[in-house]
Amino acid sequence: MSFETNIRRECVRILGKEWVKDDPVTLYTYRCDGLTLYTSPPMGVVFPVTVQELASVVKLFHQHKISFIARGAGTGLSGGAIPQDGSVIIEMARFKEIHEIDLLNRTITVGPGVINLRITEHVHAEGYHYAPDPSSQKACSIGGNVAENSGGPHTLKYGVTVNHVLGIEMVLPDGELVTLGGKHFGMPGPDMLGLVTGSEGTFGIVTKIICRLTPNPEKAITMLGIYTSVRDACESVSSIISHGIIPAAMEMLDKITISAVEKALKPGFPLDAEAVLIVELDGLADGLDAEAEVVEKLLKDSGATTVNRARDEVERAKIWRARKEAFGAIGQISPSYYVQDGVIPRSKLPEVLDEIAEIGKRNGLTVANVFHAGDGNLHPLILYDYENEQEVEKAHLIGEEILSSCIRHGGTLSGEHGIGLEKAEWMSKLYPGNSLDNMKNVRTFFNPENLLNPGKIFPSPGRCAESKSGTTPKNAAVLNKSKMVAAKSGISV
Amino acid sequence: MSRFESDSLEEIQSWVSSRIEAKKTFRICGRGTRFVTTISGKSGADSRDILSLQKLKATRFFDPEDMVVGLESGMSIRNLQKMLAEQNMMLPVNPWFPDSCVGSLVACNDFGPNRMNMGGLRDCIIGIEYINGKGEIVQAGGKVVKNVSGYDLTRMMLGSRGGLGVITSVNFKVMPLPVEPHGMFGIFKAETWLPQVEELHKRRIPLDWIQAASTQDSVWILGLGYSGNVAKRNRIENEISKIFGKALAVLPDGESFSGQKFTPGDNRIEGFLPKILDAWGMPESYFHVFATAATENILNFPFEIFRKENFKMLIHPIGGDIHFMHTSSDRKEQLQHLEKIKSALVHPDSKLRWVSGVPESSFQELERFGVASGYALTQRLKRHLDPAGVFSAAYYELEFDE
Repeated sequence: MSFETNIRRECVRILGKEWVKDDPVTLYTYRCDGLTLYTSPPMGVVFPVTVQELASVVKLFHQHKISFIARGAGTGLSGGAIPQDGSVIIEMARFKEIHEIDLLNRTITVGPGVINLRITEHVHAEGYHYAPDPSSQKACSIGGNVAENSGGPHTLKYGVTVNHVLGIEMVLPDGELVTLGGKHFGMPGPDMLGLVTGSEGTFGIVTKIICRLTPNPEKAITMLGIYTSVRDACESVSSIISHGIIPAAMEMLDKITISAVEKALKPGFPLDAEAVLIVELDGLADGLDAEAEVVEKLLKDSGATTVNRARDEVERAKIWRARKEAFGAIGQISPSYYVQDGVIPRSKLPEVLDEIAEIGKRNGLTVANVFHAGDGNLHPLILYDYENEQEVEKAHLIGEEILSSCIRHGGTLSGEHGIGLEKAEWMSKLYPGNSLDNMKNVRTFFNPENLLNPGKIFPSPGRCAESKSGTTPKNAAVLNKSKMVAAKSGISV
Repeated sequence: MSRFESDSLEEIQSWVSSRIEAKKTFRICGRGTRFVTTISGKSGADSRDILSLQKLKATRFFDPEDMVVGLESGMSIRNLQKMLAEQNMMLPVNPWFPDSCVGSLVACNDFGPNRMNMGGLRDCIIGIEYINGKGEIVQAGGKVVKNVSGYDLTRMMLGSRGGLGVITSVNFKVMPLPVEPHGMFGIFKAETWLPQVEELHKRRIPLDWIQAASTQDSVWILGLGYSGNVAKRNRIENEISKIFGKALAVLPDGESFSGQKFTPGDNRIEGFLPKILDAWGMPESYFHVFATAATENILNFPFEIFRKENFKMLIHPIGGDIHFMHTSSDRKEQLQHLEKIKSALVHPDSKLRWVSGVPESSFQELERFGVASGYALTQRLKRHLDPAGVFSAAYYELEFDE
């Protein structure tokens, strides 16, 4: 697949020859995002650098009824940037300008191609940071974060992307440029900004983002609770929250994950523990130690055998590296993994984790757990061998059973990765038909011809069967390449 | 004009469907605490039917362990906060009208003084149920605190002012009550507190809220709310004293200034709001608009001019808003007030909303100050979702080029 001659010529006229690509290497590179189990090559890839260039190519594709997708860093884990039916990919990496830093209003205005962590690096010396910190923050772009409404470990206290984006500029699927929001939240009328955030690139292509800056905490205390049972660790989570304490983060790693991170990163987690719970408190230095003492007591009272405190920044960084790179570390113990992103009410953690273990056992695969315990956002990692077709199939089945369990316990399909391609057919299990129709109706409003990122979020005929077969690609060659990538994947979330 | 109310969702749905079929426009109200004045001026002469949701007020669920609650729209904020307080929790949004209902709170996208630390409604809302333009009951979001499954129709309905559908229930995540809330308060004869608040802001001291109110004696009362254990509070008080000297005095939760008209309420969570209208002694009908504005605009706002012209003002200076009130009921004078306020809102992101006393016909005169960016898109969305045009809301009726 490649551009038709006339389309290629027009793209080159708008962008220049070097920014229009449809060679085999490019098409192979862009055939998937962080979800490597599904692959499909694009028609081609274009690389605009200005809003005008972007609007021009969008108008071109709109005029010729060619579907297209915006792509950030490609770290998404639900397949939101995987082209369907040979869509053109619009790569947004060149929109990486820091437009304005406004400390009085506590905002920073950036292009969507700016890497999440770069934002914090730009303002850290001034005493501020950008709070949403997905574990892929070294690689993921802020535009992708807006599309997926990304979270991260510290969203327990600070909130997710929608709570930290104040305004956007966006090109609609017909090329119209609109702005939403501004430098404060108090905008009248429907919260259009909230509606667009998390719409997975199906409403428009964001070209500028006003992000809210959060003051750096004066001090952070990071504790590591060590447990002989996962259930006890879950009890600790409930105990802390029910005492009216909202830590900055509460993250849990189970025995399998502990063993992986110890092999890869050696953070000093005890290998005989069934679970560790990372609890971080932050804020003013004064009074924080007293609060930490309360938390420490709660952890011990609810079953922690030991509670260690990071003694300095080096130890704290070591703990957080282990958490944020835990997914990659799984490569030490399994050729590949499939990560899920279900959410459940926090109080259901013990029983759902038991169910997940049972589901894995029944299907003969290991499921590791590393997750945002404070807000009930699970990330079960289903370990499988990419060379073994049966295991690939089982990985999908386990993923589906886990999602079923989340829905059954009053939860939802995704807390921060999005629905994308991966969970589209599941939407009808979560929402009644007319609620889903209303979502589609809103998509029709923004994206009437469904040219922008088609095939995502909503179930479509055929998807279910493809998913059950364990793969979307229509030929074995593509499947094999997909597996190779899966084997090497170490994208942390 | 007829008025319909019921405690049955099905009956309400059926009534809405009949209006859609007949293409008959209607207005939605909750408990009516701000209804007459919000769409102000001509409510008496308005012939449109009214759908009241005040009887639809059940608690759908309350899971204290998960800190989530689901309520029907007619539940009053006062009752909600009472129910939550029994579990040592709160919804960190205390509106101007404590007897208004959660449906109107969501439809108006209200904030409260605690926005500084805990955010506004958009940071608490996790699910919604509404009747759409086809008369169907739609559910969006859910009961969990983190959710990116599909489009966020919940936030789409937030601030929709009854123009996109009938909100019948909402789900919130709630917060623990602050630990030992305290406040520091002081009286200022001029706007000298503004640069001091700016300095405090720059020092990034974690306050729960900041409010300033002009008093009848044409002076200011400034309040700073904070909470936490003793060591934290001592540090905050120390930092505040470095900037304000002895101009502010500490007032713990549960205490008020004795003998002062402009005393804060019984607790240090709500700031001045519950008592301020009584203290001002405003007449039943008065001019009231509020500007949401960037911090920069508020900290540099010419308050002195307005104070000297007998405006009553309540200000949330950080990322916040300014409420302007005046006893004037003369239409010409009111329009002059509007012009004066507009000309002082120099930051392009400043927006005006009116609460009461401004005739509906003045809506056009609010021009860009009354609407958010992307307004034309919002208008188109309204037409798309409400093809029969039955959900009456003045917000969507403005005509101008963005």
